Amino acid sequence: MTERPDKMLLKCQFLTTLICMCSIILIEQSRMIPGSEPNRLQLWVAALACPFFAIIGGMISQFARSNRLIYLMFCAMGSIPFAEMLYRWQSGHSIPTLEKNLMLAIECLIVVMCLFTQQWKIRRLSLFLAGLMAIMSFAVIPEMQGLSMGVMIQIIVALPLWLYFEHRFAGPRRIQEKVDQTIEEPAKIRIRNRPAVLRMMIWITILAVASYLLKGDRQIRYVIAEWVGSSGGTGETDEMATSGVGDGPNEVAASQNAESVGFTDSEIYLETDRPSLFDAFNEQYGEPFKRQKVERMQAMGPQNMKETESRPKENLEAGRTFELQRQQADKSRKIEDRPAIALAFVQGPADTRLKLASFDQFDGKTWSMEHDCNDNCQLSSEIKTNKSCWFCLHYPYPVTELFQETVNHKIKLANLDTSVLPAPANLWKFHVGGIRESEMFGWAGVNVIRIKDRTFPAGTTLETQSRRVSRKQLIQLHFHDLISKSKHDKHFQGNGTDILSVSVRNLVESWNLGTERSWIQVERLISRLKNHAVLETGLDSQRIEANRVPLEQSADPITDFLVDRRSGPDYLFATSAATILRTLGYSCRLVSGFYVDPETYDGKKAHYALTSKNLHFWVEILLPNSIWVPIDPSPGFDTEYAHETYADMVFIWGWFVVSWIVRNQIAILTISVIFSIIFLLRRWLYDQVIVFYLNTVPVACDRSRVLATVRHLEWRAGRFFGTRPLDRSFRYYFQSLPIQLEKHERLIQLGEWAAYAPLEKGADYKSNEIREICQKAVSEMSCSFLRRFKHSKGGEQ
Amino acid sequence: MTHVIDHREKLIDLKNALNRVILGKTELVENVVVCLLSRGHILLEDLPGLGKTTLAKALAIALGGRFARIQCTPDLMPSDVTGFQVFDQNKREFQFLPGPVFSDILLADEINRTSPRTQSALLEAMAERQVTIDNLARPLAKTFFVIATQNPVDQHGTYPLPEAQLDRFAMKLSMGYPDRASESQLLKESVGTASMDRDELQSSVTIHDLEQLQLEVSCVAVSEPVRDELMNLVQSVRENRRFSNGLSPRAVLLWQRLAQARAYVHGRDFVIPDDLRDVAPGLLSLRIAGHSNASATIESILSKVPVAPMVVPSKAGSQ
Repeated sequence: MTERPDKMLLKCQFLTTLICMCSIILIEQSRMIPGSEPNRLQLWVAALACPFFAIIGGMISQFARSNRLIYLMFCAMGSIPFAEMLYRWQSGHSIPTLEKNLMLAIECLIVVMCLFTQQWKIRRLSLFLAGLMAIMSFAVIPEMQGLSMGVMIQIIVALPLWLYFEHRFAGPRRIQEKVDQTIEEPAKIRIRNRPAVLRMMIWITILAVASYLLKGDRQIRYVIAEWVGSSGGTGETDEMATSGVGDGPNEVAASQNAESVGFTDSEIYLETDRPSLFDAFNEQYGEPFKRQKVERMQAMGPQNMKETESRPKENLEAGRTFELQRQQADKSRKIEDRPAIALAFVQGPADTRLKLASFDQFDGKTWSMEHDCNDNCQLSSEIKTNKSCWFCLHYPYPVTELFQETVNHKIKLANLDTSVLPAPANLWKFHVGGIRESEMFGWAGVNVIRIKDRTFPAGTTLETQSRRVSRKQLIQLHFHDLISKSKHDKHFQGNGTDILSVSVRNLVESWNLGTERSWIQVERLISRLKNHAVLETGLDSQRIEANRVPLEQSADPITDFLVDRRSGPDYLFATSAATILRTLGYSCRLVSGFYVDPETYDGKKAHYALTSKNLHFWVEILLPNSIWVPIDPSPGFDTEYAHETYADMVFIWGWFVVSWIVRNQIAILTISVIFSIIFLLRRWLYDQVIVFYLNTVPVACDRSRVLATVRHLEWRAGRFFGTRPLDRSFRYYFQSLPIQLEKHERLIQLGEWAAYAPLEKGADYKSNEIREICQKAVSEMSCSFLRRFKHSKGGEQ
Repeated sequence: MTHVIDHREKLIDLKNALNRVILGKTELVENVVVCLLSRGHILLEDLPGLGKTTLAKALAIALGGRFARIQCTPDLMPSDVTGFQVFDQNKREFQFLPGPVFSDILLADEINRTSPRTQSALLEAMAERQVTIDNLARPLAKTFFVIATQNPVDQHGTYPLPEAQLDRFAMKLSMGYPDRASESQLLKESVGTASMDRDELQSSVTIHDLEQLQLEVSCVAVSEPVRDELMNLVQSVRENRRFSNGLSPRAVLLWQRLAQARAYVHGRDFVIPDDLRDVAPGLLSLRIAGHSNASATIESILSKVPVAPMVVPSKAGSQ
C-alpha cells in the first residue's frame, strides 16, 4: 500500500501548489509597478495559469518517483538565474547583483519544492529556504520590498497546510521510518523539528504584523534596519544615528535661521575646490587636446584690413563643449589634489543614468551643447508638506502607455560642484531641499534643470521621480513619420552622412541592419556595435596607447575607432551610435552624466557612491511622440527599461520570431514547402530506397536478404493494417491480414529459417531462387496493392 | 531432413487416424501427438460424454501398444495400480502380479475421484517411469504414457490433484463440443456401426517407431534468440501472482521439449517462437492457481513478452 500515495495527500498537495503558484504569479505581476495593486487582467492571467501549474505539478510529482529526478529539477530550476547571469556576462550585458540572483534562485527552488511536499525532507528544506528568503528580502535588498510580502503570503498560506499534512499523515510514515532506522533512536524521530517550524512561523508573523503596524507596507525594511546593528539606523529613533542620507533638508533649513552656521550662506563655498562637471570629465577622460599652433605674426597691409561691426563671439562657458580628441589626464601626485571619493550618493534602483549634459551639434571632432533652452516643457510647483515642495514637469505630450514604471531616487550631492540637477531620463517630479519657488530653476538643456546663478551646495539632497519606458511597447512603435518632423532637425542632422567616412558606411552596411526603421533596428545596431569593439576604461587606454597611433592625433576619430582600433572609451561608442543612427534617419543626441553602477553599492549605508569613475556617455533617441529615451551602446551597459514580467518576455520573444518570419517569408515558405512535400512523401521515399537497396546492393548472405525483405513487407503492411504486435510472430501477423497470401508461404518459411534455424542448416532453396522469391514478394505485395485492398475492404464494411 | 520427412509421413498417418475418430478436433489431436512425442503425460478435462475416453482408447489402438485402464474409484488401492506380490502355494514363493502401469498407454479415468493415497502411487511412475515395490524398482515401458481424465463440474466426492501430481503432467487439454458439421458427420457414421472399428484405426506407427520419434524430437535445434524468448516467458510467468508456486525447472524443460515436438510435427528441425506460444496454454493451465479466467491470464502473460527478434543469428550464439 506504500506504493500508492494517499489520495487525500495528493489533493492537499494540489491545493498547496495551486495557492503557492498563484501568490507567486500575483507578486511577480505586481512587482512591475511598486506599490500598486494587481489589476483585473493580471488576476485573470494568474487564474488561468494556476490550474496549468497545478496539473503540471501534480503530473510531475506523480511520475517523479526517483530522487534523482527531483534533484535534477532542483538543480535546473535553481541554476536558471545563475545561467542568466553567465549569459549576460558572456554577451557583455551588465550583471545583476549576486544577492538578487540568490533570491531568484531560492524563489525558483521554492516553486519546485511545492511540487514535492509529500516528501518530508524537501518540506523541511523548503520551509527553511522560505524563511531565509523572507529574512533576506526584509533586511538586505531594498528592491525586494514587494517580493518580501509575496514570500510572507507564501509562507503563511503554505505552512498550515504542510503542518496539516504532517499531522494527518504522520502515523504511517513514522512507523515506516522506525522500521528503516531500526530501533536505535525512536524518541528523536518522534519529535523531529516541528516546534522549530512553529516557532519560526510565529516569529515571522509577529515581525510582519509589528512592522506593518509601525511603518506601513512601504517601509518595513526600515524597521528591520533599526534592529540590525550594522545598518547605521534610519534616524527614526535617534537622529544622530543616521548615515548622512536625508541631511539635506536640515542644511537648507539652516539657511533660514539667523543663528545658524549652516554652510549654505558661508562664503567659503563660493570659491570652492570641489570639482565641477568639467573637471570631472577631464579627470576621467583626459583634457581636451590642444593643437600647438605655430603662428607667426605678420603685418598686413591696410588694404586687407576691415572694421567689423559685430561684437566678438561670446566666450563659451567651460563644459558647454566636449571634444573627442583628448590627451592623458594629468594625475597629480600631491595629496591635496587627489579627488575625493564620492561626488554624489544615490538611493534608488541601480542601472540608472543621471543626466547632466546633452550635446546636439557634432562636426566630426567636437560635440557642442545646444544654446536655446526654450523647450515646451513647463515647470509647476506642487506643495506637498510644510517643509518641502515638489516641482512637476509638464511635457507637451500626454503621458503615454510607453511608460510602465515610476522610479524614485534620492540623490545627495557631495563633492560635485554643479548647477545642473542630475536626474534620470523622463524626469517627472523632483524636490530640492526646502526650495519652494520655481523661479529658482532654469533650463540647462532640453528637459535638463539647473539652479539659477549658483551651484548646488554640498550636501544638498534631491529627490526625483522619473518614468521608465517598457521595451514591449517600444518594439511595437512605428517610426514611419519620424523624418517629417522638422522641429528636431538639429538632432536629425542630415549632415551625419558627411561626417561618416566611406569605410564606416561600408562597415554599417555590412552589419545588415535592415531598411525599416523600428526599435528592433536600433537594438540591432547597438548589439552590433557592442560586439564590434572593446570598451576601454581609463587604465586600459593608457596601456593600449603605447603601441598605437594616439587618438588625439587622428583626423577622424570615428573612423579610427570603428575601423582601425576597434577599441575605445564609452564616448566613442556613444558618438558612433549617435552618428550612425542619424544617418539612418533617427533623431538623437549625445548625453553625459553618471551611471549608477550596481557594483558600487554600499550595503551598510544602503546607497550607491558616485565617483568620477561613474561618469558615462550614452545616447538619447527621439521617439515619434517626442519622448527622449536613453539607449546605451557601450559594452557591459544595459539600456534601462521598465521591469519586464515573464509575460512581457514571452511577448517580446514572440514578436521577434514573428518579425523574423515576416522578413524571411520567401525563404521560409520555400523551405517549408519542400519539407512538407518530403514529409508527405516520406513513406514512398523510404519504400523506394529500401526496394532499391534490396534489388541492387549485394547482401551479405541469403538470411539477411530474406529478413530484410520480410521486415520491409511487414513495414508496408503495417502502414495499412496496423503494425505487428510485439508478441505476435510475423507468420501469425501475415496470416491475420485480410489478404490472400498463400503465394508467400515460401517466403514466410524462409523467414523462419533465416531468423531461427541454426547456422549450419542451409536453406531448402538455392541462392538465386531465394532472390527470386524475395523480389517477387516485394513486387506483388506493393503499397498500391495493399492500399487498394484496404480501400475495397473499407468500402465493403 | 529426409529422415524427418520419412517419419513425418507416419506422423501424418497417426494424426489422420485420430482425426477419423475425433472429428473436427485437429488442434487437440495435434497437441496430443505433441505430448506423445515429448514424452509428456496428458490431463484431459471436460464435461462427460465429449469423447475423452474415446480419444485415449483410439490413441492406444492406433499405436498398437499395450493399453491399460484404471477406473479411478474412491476405494482404489495403490497396489491396484502398481501391482503386488502374491504367494504362490505351489512354488512356495512370492510372485509379482504387475498392475496396469506396466503398459505402454495408461488411461486413468476420472482420476480425481480416487483418494490422494492412490493418486500418489502414480507419482513415481509418471516422473521416472519406474515403480518401486518392496524395495525393488521395476522399470516401466520406455514409451509409458498416461492419459488422465477428469470432470471439472460435479466436484462432490472428489480429491483435487495435488501440485506434485499436476507438475508431472505436460498439458491440460479440454475437448470442447464438436462443431455442427463434425457432429452431423458423427451421427451419419454411427448409423450401422456397432462399435469402434479397429481396422480403421490401424496406423503405420508402432511403439518402436514412437521411441525413435521421441529421440529425434530431442534433437530439434533451439537457437539463441528463441531460448532467450523462452527465458523471458518463464520470467513473465514467475512474476505473475496467479503462479504463486512459480514454474519448476521440470516444467521449463518440458516447455522446450513440447516446442521441439511441435516443430517436428510441423516438419521443421528448428524451433520458432510460434512453437513456444502454441504449447504454452496447455502447459500453463495445469500450473495456474484457481480455475477462473485461466486462459485470459495466460494470454496476458504471453502478450507481455515480445517475440524473438528477426535477426541473422551470430556465429557465437549458434549451437
